[in-house]
Amino acid sequence: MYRTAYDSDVTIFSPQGRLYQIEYAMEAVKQGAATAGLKSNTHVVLVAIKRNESQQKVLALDQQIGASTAGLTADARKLLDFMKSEIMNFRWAHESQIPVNWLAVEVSDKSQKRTQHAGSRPFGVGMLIAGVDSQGTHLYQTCPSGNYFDYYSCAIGARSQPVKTYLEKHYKEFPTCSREELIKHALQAIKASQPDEELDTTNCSVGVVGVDEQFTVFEGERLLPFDEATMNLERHQ
Amino acid sequence: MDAPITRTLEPINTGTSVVGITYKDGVLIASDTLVSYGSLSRFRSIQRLVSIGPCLIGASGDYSDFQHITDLLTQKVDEASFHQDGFQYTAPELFEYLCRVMYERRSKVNPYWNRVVMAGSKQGKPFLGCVDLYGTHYASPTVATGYGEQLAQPILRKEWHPDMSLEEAHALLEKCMRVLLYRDCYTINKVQFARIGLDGQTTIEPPAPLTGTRWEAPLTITLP
Amino acid sequence: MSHGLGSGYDLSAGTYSQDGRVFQVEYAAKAVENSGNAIGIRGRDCVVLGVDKPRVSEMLVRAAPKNATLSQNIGMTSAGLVADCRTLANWCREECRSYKNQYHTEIPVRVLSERLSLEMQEHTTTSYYRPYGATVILGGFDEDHTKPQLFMVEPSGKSFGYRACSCGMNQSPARTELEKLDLPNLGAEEAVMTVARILHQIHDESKNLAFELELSWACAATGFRHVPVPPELLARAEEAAKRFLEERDHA
Repeated sequence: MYRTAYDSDVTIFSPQGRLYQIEYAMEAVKQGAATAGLKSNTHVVLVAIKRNESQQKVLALDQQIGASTAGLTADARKLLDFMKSEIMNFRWAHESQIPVNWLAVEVSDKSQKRTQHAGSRPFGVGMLIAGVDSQGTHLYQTCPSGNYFDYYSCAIGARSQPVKTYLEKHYKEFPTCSREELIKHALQAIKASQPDEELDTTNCSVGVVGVDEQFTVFEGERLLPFDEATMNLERHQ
Repeated sequence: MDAPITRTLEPINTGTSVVGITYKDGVLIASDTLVSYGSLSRFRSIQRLVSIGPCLIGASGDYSDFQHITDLLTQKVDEASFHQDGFQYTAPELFEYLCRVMYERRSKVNPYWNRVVMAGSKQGKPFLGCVDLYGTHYASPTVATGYGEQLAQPILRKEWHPDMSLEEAHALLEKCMRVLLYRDCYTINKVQFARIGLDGQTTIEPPAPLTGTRWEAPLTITLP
Repeated sequence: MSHGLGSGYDLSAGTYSQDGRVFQVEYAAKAVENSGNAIGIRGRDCVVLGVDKPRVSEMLVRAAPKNATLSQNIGMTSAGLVADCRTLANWCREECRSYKNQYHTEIPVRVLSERLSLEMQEHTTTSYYRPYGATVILGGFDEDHTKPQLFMVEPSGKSFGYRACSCGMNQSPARTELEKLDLPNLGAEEAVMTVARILHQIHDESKNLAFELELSWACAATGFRHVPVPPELLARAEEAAKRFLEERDHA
């Protein structure tokens, strides 16, 4: 597909003032397996679909910060690496955890740099950053364009629209949800991106962080305790 | 031949002791208002206690280095507010930052020639820390720098207790400042107190002379 | 292969077209025209900056801040690619910081606007960079606090001082409204009300999606510091703006 003469490099504005390369990078995010996040007043939950059992879709980055990604896996690793070093720099300087907002801004600033000069392409990855700091619970979404958003709940990746629809229907209940209810909502939401397939211990991954709880990733067998809560999680044989 | 590279080999304009203690509702620190040029009492009305964001700092040692440190920390606090996310550094976070800065400079063999006292609060409790030109740092309910470390610290350790009222804390630091006034050659009788409450509220008192000192020749004093 | 306006001469900021235009800069200006509106006004001893931000989703907690404090007395607002605007804010902050480190006084707003314009102009001269897709409005006070300052810098690097200025999608209707104002006699609070009203007014005209307002100011009441307008005043200003629109529609 060759849409226009103005889409071959990120340094070219189209006559309408658009940057196609950024828009295409946003498309790369939509190719990645879906991930969703939602927060209450006390907890933030990330959930992601794994296309491959060994894939790391949800990662703990600090005591109370974690992230999930959708898009080009290798680009995601690069950004996550950068985030880890930002986190460690802050810890080194202040002996405490970086505010979640700062981390989102740092990642976005780094992404923006890749949209400004010739010779490189924008990062093809979208990210959900979940964390707790002195300002409460946070859920941020970052984009290849260098934009970031502060959400109550959101979803990105392949077939994330039905997930969003689920979240939009329920997000007003989230602030007062308990930890278990929030996880249940997360699993039910992400299931909407898998109409033909059941969730099981190999194809999804959950991250939980709370005001009094460190960020923990639940995968494989560790997902089973959520089984009863959701009634739709099948044990993989 | 090129001359060898040298760094700051000695401080120039210096301030003497800063003393500080925690009390029930916060931290109280005190210093005199003198900045000496060698042994000359050159600048006699300089405030050496400064409020920066969530904390109060004071320092002995080179005054220009202290001014620079004040700028560094102010900038740090200002930059945090740019994010507009409600986050503010806590005093211990700024203290750790300052310790890294001091250690980095000493590792370049070009230290900020100070011993800095930082006061604030940490999770609802008073916080009082101290870092020197080598980057050595610690937090303690009683802190004294310069000559105060020799002369005031023993008194503070003996008489300090955790639930001191502001009045008691004030009286104790006054006692220390009096001892220092008697024995430290590089001080003057003009001292200043500053405190920071657990809510971050800072009060810097105007400088005033110490009262209750006696300068008669010992023989003429009638003991009670 | 090229069938755009510039027939192949519009693919790089490093290329002139045959009639001497640099199309990429004009296209970058288009990016600004595609975005929300930003307004700055200089009233009596005050500067007020305002911007409207689209609410991309109802699940958004709040849109990322767009009015940035650059140093104590100087703020900016902007229109265009949001990430570019943020990058420019960071660039300005660094410039303010280095100026202050050198001279131990705040950078004069005019000097900042000139330096920013050089930076933006630089990006219009090579094919390695693209121009910034952002227009920046700088407002605030110099160290002496005598006179409010307001400047606007465009993607081309053009920079001028203004009494009031606007950029974004509805720049022209905004300007029409701004021209009606009695600026030298506009007090700070009144100026906030006015900016809120105009932003609502021009937004209404394009019948757009939901948006939120962000206003910031510097005036005697803030100690000449650039800070966000207090939520209470912002709410009052928005309410007054909505009332104004209702009354206008009735009439």
